[in-house]
Amino acid sequence: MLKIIRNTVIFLLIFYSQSVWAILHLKLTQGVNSAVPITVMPFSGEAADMALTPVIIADLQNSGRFINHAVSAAAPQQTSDASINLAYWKNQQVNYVVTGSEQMTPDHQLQVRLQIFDVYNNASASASPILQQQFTINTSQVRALAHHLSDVIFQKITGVPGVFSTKIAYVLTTHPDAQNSIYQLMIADYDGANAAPLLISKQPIMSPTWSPDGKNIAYVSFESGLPAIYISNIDSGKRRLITNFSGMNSAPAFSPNGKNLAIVLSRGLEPNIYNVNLSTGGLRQLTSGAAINTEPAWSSDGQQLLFMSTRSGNPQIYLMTLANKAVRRISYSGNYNTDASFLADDKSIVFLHRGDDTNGQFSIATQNIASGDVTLLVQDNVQSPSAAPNGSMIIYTRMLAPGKSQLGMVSSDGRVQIQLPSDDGAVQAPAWSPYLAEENFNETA
Amino acid sequence: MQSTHRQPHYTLPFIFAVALHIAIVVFVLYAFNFHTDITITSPAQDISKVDVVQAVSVNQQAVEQEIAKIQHEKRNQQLAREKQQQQLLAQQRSLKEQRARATKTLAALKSERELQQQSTEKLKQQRLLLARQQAEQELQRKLAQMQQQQQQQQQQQQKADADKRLATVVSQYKQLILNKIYPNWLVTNGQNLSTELLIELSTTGVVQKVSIEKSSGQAAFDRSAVAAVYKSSPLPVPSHDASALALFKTFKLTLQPQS
Repeated sequence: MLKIIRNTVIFLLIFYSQSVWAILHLKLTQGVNSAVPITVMPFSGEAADMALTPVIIADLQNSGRFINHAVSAAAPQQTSDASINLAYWKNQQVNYVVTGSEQMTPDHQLQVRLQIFDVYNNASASASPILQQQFTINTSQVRALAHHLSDVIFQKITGVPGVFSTKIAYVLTTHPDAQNSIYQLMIADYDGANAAPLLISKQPIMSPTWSPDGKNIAYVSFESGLPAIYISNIDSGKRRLITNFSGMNSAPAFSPNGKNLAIVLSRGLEPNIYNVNLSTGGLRQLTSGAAINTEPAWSSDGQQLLFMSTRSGNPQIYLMTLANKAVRRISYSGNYNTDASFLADDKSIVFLHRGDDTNGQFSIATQNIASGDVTLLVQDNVQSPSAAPNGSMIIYTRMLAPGKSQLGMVSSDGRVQIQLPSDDGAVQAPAWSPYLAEENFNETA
Repeated sequence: MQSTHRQPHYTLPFIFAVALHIAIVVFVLYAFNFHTDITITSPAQDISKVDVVQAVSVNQQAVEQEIAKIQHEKRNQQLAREKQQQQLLAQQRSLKEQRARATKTLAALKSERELQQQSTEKLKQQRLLLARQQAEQELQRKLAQMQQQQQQQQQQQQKADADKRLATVVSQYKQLILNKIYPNWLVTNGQNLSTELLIELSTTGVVQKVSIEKSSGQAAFDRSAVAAVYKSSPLPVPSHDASALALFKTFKLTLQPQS
């Protein structure tokens, strides 16, 4: 009797361990860094002149994180935007489907509905959206709402805020005739749309840069004949002169808290980096020596400063810890590295790079600071890289011909490259804005 | 084996007892002889001494008196001698008796020893018999044990072989499953994130249910992991091996990108 009990206990123990403790555990440590297949279906009631979906599709694809599978003729007809045919989309291997509707109200407002469906995380036969929002806007806000919806979709699926509602600043130089040049400090949507000048001058404008709150832009203007650093308010257009020392006044960069401006002054000697306290005007010299030290760029915590120096003989990237002014060299690969700034996580930098063996060819490159690994993103007459605030994209200029250049964007993994609409003239020194306080798109019930 | 172990317990005391008895007997006999020698020699010396001293200086009367005295003394001496002799005799008798008793005891001991020897012999034989029986039983037992061990070993070997086969099949299909999920896992932002899923499969590998055991804390990352599994359905399963297949009915999958 005892033996039976004992054997039963042993059997139960074995059975228990087999069924509970010995459960298989697999571990996957690598996925693929490729674009997520998505289908943005044309919104029902979408008029051609107020279409949201073309903007959304362009935004998502520009990021490099999404690839839009256009709706084929074979796709099942949507009876309503509130549900989708899961089996069909699974068969298409599309991970997400975006549907929506537009409807004009009697008082000429546009009612917009948005749904995101997760094709594979839908256990039930009747699909329910993972996100559903409704907005009422003025017809002038169509494009801005489209960018906002792209941000919503991007964040919902990737977990990272989108940058589709951010802006860019750049300098546009045109030559109406052989004697005259016109310099314009332009501000546009991140995709180049809605471009408008903030400042127009007959003398060169250089190095625009955004304040952390996105409300001001600092830049170098030669309007007096000599270089001086100004800060302009974007909404009011009001300006403030910061420095006009003799010699070079250049490369302004706001500290992350907006209270300081790192600048470069030569004052009759070699250019060196200074810090200007914007409330007191106090100057503090950060670099010294006979070499060129320029192009300061702050880390997101405001503790460190990237800059370019020729102290080793050719332009290379250095990093200064501001507390003790300790400097270490960051770039070792290549014989010409300039225009560096941090990517979103401060672990990598993006910069203009010329390798040892590329025959004078410049590239936009990223470098992991810790490992030193350099990744080339785009080549061929490129300049002035500036990263989006989430680090997903980088804007730059490409020289097409003397006096003719245009803006390009590349995803930070190098996968997607796009050219922005080309103005006449030369586009220079693009600067990507921080996240901006968006227009108020209140959800409506 | 067990009986030989017990033997020393009896042998040693027995030998000791016999030796003790012999020692007692020897001691007693020796003591008797010693006493006899001494008591016989001492009275003769006393008598010759008295005779020599009395023969030298006497007158008639005194002689008569002396003679009477001597005669009286002689008588007394005679009496004393007789008494002594009687005592001696008595002693001799007692010794004789003692010797007889010792002999008797010896005989008794001897017979006792014989008896003991007989019983020891008997015991020994009994023990031998018992030992033989025990040895036989032991042999049987060992034989049975050996058979059992052999069976167990065979079973263990079979189980080990089966386990090994199972482990090979399981690891093979683990890899096949990971290989199928890997290209479907689109990591949009996976820095330092990890999600643990519980996956239920049908016998043909169709993903029945995916539940999040441990969330990464970021809904988008969790969703990418769950989607990767569903998108990989059906997963390869060992349909030819029932015990391996059973293990893949429900299993865990951790998705954790390593930079």
